Amino acid sequence: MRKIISTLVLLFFFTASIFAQHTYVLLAGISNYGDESNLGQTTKDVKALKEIFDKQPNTTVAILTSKYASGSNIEEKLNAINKLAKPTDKIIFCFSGHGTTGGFVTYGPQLFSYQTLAQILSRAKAKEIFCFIDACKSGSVESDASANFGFESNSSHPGLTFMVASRATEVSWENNWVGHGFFTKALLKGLRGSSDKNRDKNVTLKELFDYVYNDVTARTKDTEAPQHPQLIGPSSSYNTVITRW
Amino acid sequence: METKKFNSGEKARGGKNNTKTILTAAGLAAVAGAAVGAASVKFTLKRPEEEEPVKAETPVAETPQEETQNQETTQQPQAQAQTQQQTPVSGEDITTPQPIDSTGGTGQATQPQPTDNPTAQQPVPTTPATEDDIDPDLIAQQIAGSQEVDNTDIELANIITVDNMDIAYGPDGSEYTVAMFHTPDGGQFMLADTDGDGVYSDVFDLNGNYVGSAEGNLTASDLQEAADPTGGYMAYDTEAPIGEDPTNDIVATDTHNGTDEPIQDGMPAVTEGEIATIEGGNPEELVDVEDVLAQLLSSNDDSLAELADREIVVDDEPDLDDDDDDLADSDDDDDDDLDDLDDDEA
Repeated sequence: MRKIISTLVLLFFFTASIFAQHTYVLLAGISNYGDESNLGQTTKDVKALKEIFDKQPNTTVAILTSKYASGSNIEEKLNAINKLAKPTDKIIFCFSGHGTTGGFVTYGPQLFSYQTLAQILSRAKAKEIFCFIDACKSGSVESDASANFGFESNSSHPGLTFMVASRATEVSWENNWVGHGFFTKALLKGLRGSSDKNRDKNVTLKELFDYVYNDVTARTKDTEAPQHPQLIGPSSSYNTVITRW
Repeated sequence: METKKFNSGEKARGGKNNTKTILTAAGLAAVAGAAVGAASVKFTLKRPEEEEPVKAETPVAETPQEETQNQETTQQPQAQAQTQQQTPVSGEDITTPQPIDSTGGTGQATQPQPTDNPTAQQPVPTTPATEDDIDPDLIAQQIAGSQEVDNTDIELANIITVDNMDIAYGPDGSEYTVAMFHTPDGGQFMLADTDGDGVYSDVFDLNGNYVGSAEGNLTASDLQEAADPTGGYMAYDTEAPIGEDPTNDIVATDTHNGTDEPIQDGMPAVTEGEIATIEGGNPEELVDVEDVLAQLLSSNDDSLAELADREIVVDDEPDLDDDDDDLADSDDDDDDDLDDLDDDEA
């Protein structure tokens, strides 16, 4: 009898593990573009994010830095994640580096458009996809995607959400005192629990954004170039838990 | 400087020989003097479009910042049925697929990984793999868990490395929470919030003398995060600064705010021609970002050149002036001013 119960318990946990939500995280940061446009905090950004996501249960974390963060390599990793992720799984993509209107700049340098990113991720079966972009003019994802790709069109992924560092016309800052990009610094603190307003040890997307927005705007409000993060995605994703503690 | 035995009942973590840490009257006066004539905070431009390398400035600097490069490590090959291990080997990047167990989680390696290392202990296959032997899911799993870290990553050393938090006292006995930190060159200082605004902006030496102001509007949570870089849990930030209302920077795509136009591009932080400041530099040191962007993306790819051209058109938008505040406060459902936005922005 005891053996039967033990077997059933093991079978239950095995089944539960198979169907448990899995999170796939791809981190891409570029500090060394190989020219005078190099940055100083961006690969530190993604490495610090890796420390956080590595602590999350049922999470696979991939990281690409500088010369490995080419457009083709990023696309390859995303396609692999798309292949693996089930509808119940979650996909998270984080980028830290140069950006411009319509996309971010991968190693090369090459422009990786938000349209392309949205198209790649639209092929995922996972219902929840989150992109955190710490780059200049990253808010242009909304104008670019909606105009050329279409959040409203059937070709877009209904569960695709962007949290970006700045408005479409704003630059994004980094600083040696802060030790990271301003957006990523807030993200790091928020993901680690500083944003957990209801103190339930679950950091939701909305909690995270509210905290990040507060932190970044407060830090830059008296400067010559204020920065305003943006949240672009379905409101149904606001209560999605991004990190658990 | 008078010192007294530190007697807070807490474990002494700072100061010298269990004495109180004192901020001198002269030091606090210097803070006030500095605040009167303080210039605007200088920040590092994070991205684009400029070509000046990021260089750090520090008010306490005796030595310039140095770029640090990662110690290069690589994965040793996996021995059969052994757990994954890493051994630092100079001269190579980290480039590994990360083996994933059957449940999809990252786990210990339970099967050998292909490698070119001659010291591998894994068995060498005796027959060439065929298509039937290749598990596409396994390959996808390895790709999805890739660890590809460039050994030439540029990571400027943090100006402050927080050692611990402590309490310092003013001449009148006022208590100040201070962050004890050291600089890359080993200098030890204190970072204090002397005006109670939640920003740790004042740097003192260990004798309590003011030495300069910090950049970045550092808060207690910033220092806490910096003090523990392992990525562990942090409690809810009860001292979070008050920022702006985020409403106008949220786009709910399932409702899409009733418009195809971005609801808030209104107040460009930079003017036509894209002006950006370099780190630590004078705001007058402007760079034409369009030129830099073109240089950054310069290639034989005509599509990129077209994008650079389109970039100019996109940035050539009307100066919204005072209407920007109206846009910021506009109702999401109905705002006629949105119709005035340049359609080319999209």
